[in-house]
Parts: sequence; C-alpha cells; structure tokens
Amino acid sequence: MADKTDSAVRAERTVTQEGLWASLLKVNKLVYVLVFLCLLVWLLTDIFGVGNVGNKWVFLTRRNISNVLNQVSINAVIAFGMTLVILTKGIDLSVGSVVAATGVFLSVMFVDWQMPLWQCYILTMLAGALTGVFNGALVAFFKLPPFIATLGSLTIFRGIAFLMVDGRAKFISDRSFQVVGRGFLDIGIPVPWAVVIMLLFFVAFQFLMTMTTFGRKVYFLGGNEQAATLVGIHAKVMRLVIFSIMVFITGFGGIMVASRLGSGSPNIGTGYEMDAIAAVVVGGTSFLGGKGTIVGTLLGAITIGIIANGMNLMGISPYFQFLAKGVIILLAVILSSDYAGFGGRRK
Amino acid sequence: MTAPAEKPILEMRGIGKSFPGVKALDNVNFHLFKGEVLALMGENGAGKSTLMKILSGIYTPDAGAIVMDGKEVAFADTNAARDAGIAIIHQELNLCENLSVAANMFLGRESIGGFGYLDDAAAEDKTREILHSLGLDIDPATIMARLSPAQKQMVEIAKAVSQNARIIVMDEPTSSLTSAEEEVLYDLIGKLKSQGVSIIYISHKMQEIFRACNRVTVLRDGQYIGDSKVCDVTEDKLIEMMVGRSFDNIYPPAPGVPADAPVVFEAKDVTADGVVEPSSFTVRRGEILGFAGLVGSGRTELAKVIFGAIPMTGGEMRLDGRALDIHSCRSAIAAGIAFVPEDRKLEGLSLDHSIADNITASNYKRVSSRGIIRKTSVRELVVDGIERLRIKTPGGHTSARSLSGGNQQKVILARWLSRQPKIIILDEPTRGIDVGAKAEIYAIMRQLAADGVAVIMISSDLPEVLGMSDRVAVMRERKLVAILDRSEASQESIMTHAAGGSKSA
Repeated sequence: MADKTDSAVRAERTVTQEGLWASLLKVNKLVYVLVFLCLLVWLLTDIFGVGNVGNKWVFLTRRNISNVLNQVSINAVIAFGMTLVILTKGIDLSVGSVVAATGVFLSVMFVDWQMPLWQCYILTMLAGALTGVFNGALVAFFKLPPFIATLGSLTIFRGIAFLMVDGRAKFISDRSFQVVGRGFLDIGIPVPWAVVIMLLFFVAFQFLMTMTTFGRKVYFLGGNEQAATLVGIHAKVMRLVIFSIMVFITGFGGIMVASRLGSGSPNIGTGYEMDAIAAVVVGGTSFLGGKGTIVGTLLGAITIGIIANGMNLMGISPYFQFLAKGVIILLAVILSSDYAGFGGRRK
Repeated sequence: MTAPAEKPILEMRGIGKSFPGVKALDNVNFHLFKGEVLALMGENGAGKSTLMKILSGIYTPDAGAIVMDGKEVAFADTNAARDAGIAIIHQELNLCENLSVAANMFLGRESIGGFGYLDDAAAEDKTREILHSLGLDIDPATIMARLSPAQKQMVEIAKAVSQNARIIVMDEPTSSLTSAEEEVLYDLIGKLKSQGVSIIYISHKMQEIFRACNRVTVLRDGQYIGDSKVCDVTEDKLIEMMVGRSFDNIYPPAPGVPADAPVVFEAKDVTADGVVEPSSFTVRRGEILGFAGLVGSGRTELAKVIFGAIPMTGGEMRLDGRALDIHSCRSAIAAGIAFVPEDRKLEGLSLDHSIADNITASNYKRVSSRGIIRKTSVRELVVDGIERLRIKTPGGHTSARSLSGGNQQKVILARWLSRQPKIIILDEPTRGIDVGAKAEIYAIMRQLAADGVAVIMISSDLPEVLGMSDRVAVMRERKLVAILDRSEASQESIMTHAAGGSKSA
C-alpha cells in the first residue's frame, strides 16, 4: 500500500519537534525584543548617561550582566516548573509559600538540629517533592481547579512556615550555607553559583520537554485532554507528576533564597508566583495550553530582569517601576500572543 | 410550486471572494424564490459557508452583487443582514443555556417596563404567541438547558421568525437530531414555507435533501455548477455534480465473511450502569460490524465501554478467546483495541499540534528508548503514516488544524494503524467528510477487515451502514436489540428495530 518515495521527499518532511535552535527561532520575537531592550538600556545608561553620575559604563559590564542573571536565576528556576504547569492549563499560586516553607525548614534543620548541610539539602528537596504530591493530588484526584487547590495550599504552606519558627526568621552566618545563593564558580571569570544552577536546570528541562516522551505527553495533554486520555495518556498521573516537579523545583528555589539571604524567613516569597507566571507568559507560553517552550521562559525571565535592571540604573522610582513593568509585560504578551488581537488568530 | 415567471426574492450575481492564496468563490450565481426550500450542496471547501457568510454580512464580496426584491443591497455587517430579513441557524446554536426561552428570544432587544426593569411577562407572552404560531409546544419560562437539542434548535428558528426573517439559512440542521425530531423539523419547515419564508438548507445527507427541499444548487471548488429541481435529479447525479466525476459506488465490494471465520472479539452482557444495558455481540475475523441506532441509543457509550473510557460494571469481553481485563483506555490500547472517536476536534486531535505529534501520540513507546525520543523513529513512523494513508499535506510539521476533515480523520487512522490493532472501533468515521475522502476511508476499512482486523463501525448514516457492514447491530435505548445479516438489513428493518415499534419510518 505504501508506495515509497525517494529519500529526498522524506527528508523534506521535517517531522520532529523543535530542538533548541528551532525553538529559539520560534520565539524569535522575544529574542529581538530582548536585543532591542538591551540596546535601549545600553544607549540610555552608558551612552547618554541617564541616571549615571560617573562617566563609566554601568550597564554593559561583566559585573552588571552577571548581576542581572544572578537576580533572574531564582525566578527562572521556578518559572521552568511553572511552564509545565501552564502548558497543561494549570496554575500554581503556592510557590511563594513553598519558597518560605522550604527555606525555613532548611534553616531549622541546619541551625536547630545541627544536621550536615548536604543532608539538609536532600531532605528539603524531598519535602518539596512531597508537598508537590499534595498539590498534585488535590488537582488530579480531588479534581479541584488548580487555582483553588493552590490557593488553599498557599495558605497552608505559609502557615507551616510561620509555625516552624514561631514567626521569626532564623539567621545563619555559616559561610558554606551561603555558597548556593551568593557564591561564585571560577571558570576564568567568576560565575554566580545561582546562575550555574539556573543553566543546569535549563538544560535539564529543555531536554525533558523536547527529547523525552514525558515532554511530548505534556504538550499533547495540554493541547487536548480528552484526546490525550483516548490515546492512553494517563492524565491524572501526568498532573500529579507535573505538580510534583513544580513544587520540587520551587523547593530548590527556596534553598537558593535562604542561602542568599543567610536566613530562613517565613515572610519571604510573596509575589514569587506572579513573577514566575510573568516570565512564562512573556516567554510565549499560552494559557490555552499545549504551546510554549522552556527557552521562551528563560528569555522571558531575562527580559523582565533587564527591564528592572535598566530602570534601576536610570534611577527610576521603584513605585513607577511597578507600573512600567506591568505595562511592558502586557505589551510583550499582546505582541507575541495567540489570544485575540494581533497574533495568529485561532480559528 | 415555484412558477418560472416568478421573480426571485434573493439573487447573488457573479459573487467572487478571495483569501490570501485561495480563491474561495469565483463568479457564483445563486437565486432563491419566495417560500421555497433550497438545498445548497457541495463538498467541504466548495464555498458554501463562504457564500453564506457573504449573505449574512460577515464577509464582503470582492466581486458581484446581492439583489433582494429587485434592489441591490450591500451588508456592512451581520446586523444589516438581519435587518434585511436574513437569519442563519448555525450548527452550534447561539443560545444562553442558563436563561429562559423567552429571555433568549429577546436577547439584546428586551422589552423594558416602567422604572427600567425587564418586562419578563411581556416577553413570555410574545414568545408564547410566536411558538404557538409555529405549532411548537415549549413553555417560554423554561430554562434553555432543560430543552433537548431539537427543542433548542426550534427556539433558535422561532427567534429568527420573531425577527421577521424572510430568509433562513440552516446549516446542517439535523446534525444533532434524532429521526423523530427530524420529522418535527420538517413540519416546522413546512409551516415556514406556507408563511412565505424561504429557506436555504445546507446538508450532506442525501435523504434530507430529497425529503425536505424543492430545489438544489451545487457548488464545487468555489464555482457554481448548476441547479435543478429536486424531483429532476438522482442521488448519483448530485454526487457527480459535487465531485466532478461519477461514482458508481463509493462502497468497496464486500467479499463476505466465511461462515466458519473465527470470532475475534466477543462481548457478553457488557453493561455500564445507567449508560449501557447488557449487550452481547461478536465480531468475526474479516468482518465489519455496523452499529445503527438513533442518536442517544448508547452506541458511542458502548464503544467507550469496550475502549475503557467508561467503566464496565458487568459482563465480559473476550479477544481471541481470552478474557479481557479492561479498566482504562490504556489497558484497552495495550490489548490491541483502537478507537476513532466521533468528534475529531474534541476527542481525536490536538489541533494546534503537528501531524507528527498527533500520529506519535499513541506510539510513544515505539519511537523512544528509555523515555528518550528517537527522532529517526518518529520520522519513519510519520512519513509511513502520511504515505500509507495518502494524507494531503506539505509535511509532518503541518498543524492538524489546517487539514481538511478527511485528512484529519486520516491522521487519527494513521495513529492507530501504526499500532496494528486487533480491533478498531470507528465512531461516525465519515461525518463531515467529503465524498472523495469518504471513498478512501471506506477502502481502508475494507482493507483492514481483509487483513484480519475486527472492524466495528458506528454510523447514523443508514446508506453507509448498509453499504459497509457485513452485519448490522441495532441499538435502542442503551441496549443492543438486534443483529441483522447483510441479507436482512434494510433501512426499514433497521429503523423498525431502532425505533422500537412495529411501525417503520
């Protein structure tokens, strides 16, 4: 039945899901936006000297770029997980509380229980994964809408964070504890450990989403859940795993935050969920499900970071920065989205 | 009924419309007389819906003119067309489920009482009057969600009438109706005709055209092919006009199943509480078993029970003599069952993903090792599927959304055939698919049967059931009530069992 065509025709029919380069090209709008932004900020600060008292460059310096990436790193790591959640039409509002709870748990183990640091890390990540299963079970088996489920767990985790330390932050002066958040890896130039961790997670998630059957299933499930079930994709188990990954990686974010601050604080992390969602959305992932890339999310997080950094360098009031950041996020999404409006229309 | 001297109330002359890269309509002529039912026919993509969208003011034509009552008109938007007396009843109804019938009738033009409150009583009175004039027995205060699909459609039509529509376009109006409900629709159409309303009736189903329409206009590839009185044409002639070549028989010859062919699949008293009553049947090697019945008779549900999508609460299933333990779609797939669902877009495809992704979706194990995708295997699988099923596409990366219905169906078939299933269940395999692709899908089904796959086909299209099935199982009220041999199956015998009385349609 199958009449063979020559190999040239076969080769023409590219059938594989986009790899790194293809997905870079696909979110190319964002690459351009990023380049444009950098150029703009560079011109304003370094060339025209807006808000710049000295005559030295402040933006396009190794120190500043390393600084921006360092600031972006925690948000990016959380946003990688959030990408999976949003790809399957979910949302996780509890990440801020998870960051607080895991950070506090870590510091309690390290300070009060005097456990070795590596054990603390492992147990913290385990605790993160377990809470993830809790979130996932609420969504997958109790069939709560993710928004509601994680709204509930947000409050629960925050409560746990407060209870563990009776509401007071726990300070840690140990230098080894601060390596993950503040230390540098010297590879000729000093690279913040946080950035190294971000890149490692980026590679892992990029691999997961483009090269594995798990990634394919996530995309297909997000594209059409009914069809996914009818081709044998186990939607519930997938949801459970996705939410577990989300909280697990957020727990890692919690470690990074605690390490950076040198304390486990139960108050930390409010608004982290919104930052992560913003990075994902600016990165081109659709709330309609099934569309989006990890590369996009990384670029989205960096874009938001550059915007904040640029405004800081120009000495713009932090109050105004909120406003500007919101407007820029909306613009980025409107320009690149497939919601109604300019982008590709859904028929 | 339509005297030749009579002037048409609507004429569309030399209509042309292009979209980037496509000429959707080219010099199309179309006319409609007062009080007639005109069937508008053509394959998918022939330009029917584009023409109707021009008529209803959604698109503006690039060329040509619309003439109503001898005067040239131009509709800037849908409101203008509605004011001119043109109403469209879409396949997907445009109603608010949680409002009452009366509220839906007057949505957007509510009668306002004193102090600005809504005058529900007045709306209900008016609604009652309109429904009554159409012979419909529906309480205006009922919440829309409580009505059957047929009643909802009646309300939509009544709404058009209340807006003084003189031309009503009905797009596949029977797609969600049972045959009893179809009769009610035909009665209503008769009433509308006698009130002087003209109807443009879009449908793929030949029976309906011959049952309900006076005249037929055929489009093909955006061009006007011809029109004719319904009484002057035959079904074959219409198909020829639509397809452009003649089809002696779109159903491939059935070689027949030898009496001693082994049973591949056996269902014994398969039950799902409240959904499927105990039903038993067998499928033999090389056989196509057709499932007929009214909409809602439980055919899809029975298929989903077999496929593990609806839990089975009683009975047993056997494949090649061995008992099957199916508790999920996953286990059904693992056992070698494939299911092509009724609604491709809702349950079959992830539309925004590529053909490749959609074909791969049930074959992840085959294209990966230890969970990691092997690109060459994916390419092989997809290219093989595209070639084997002759899917018309520039390549595997094309999104499923951009394909025609027939090619979308082939993508789903490619997905399952690559698994070499032992049983394949096809639910309405050719719904909304044009004649050419239909013939191809029929040929594939026959080939599968010849290769020894047990084929189960659910269809509401009786000619299709009769043309394809080696035996016909008939379901009524969630239960399998009869299995007819090819020799005893006829429209009458099937309808008798399906409707449950001795009275046939």
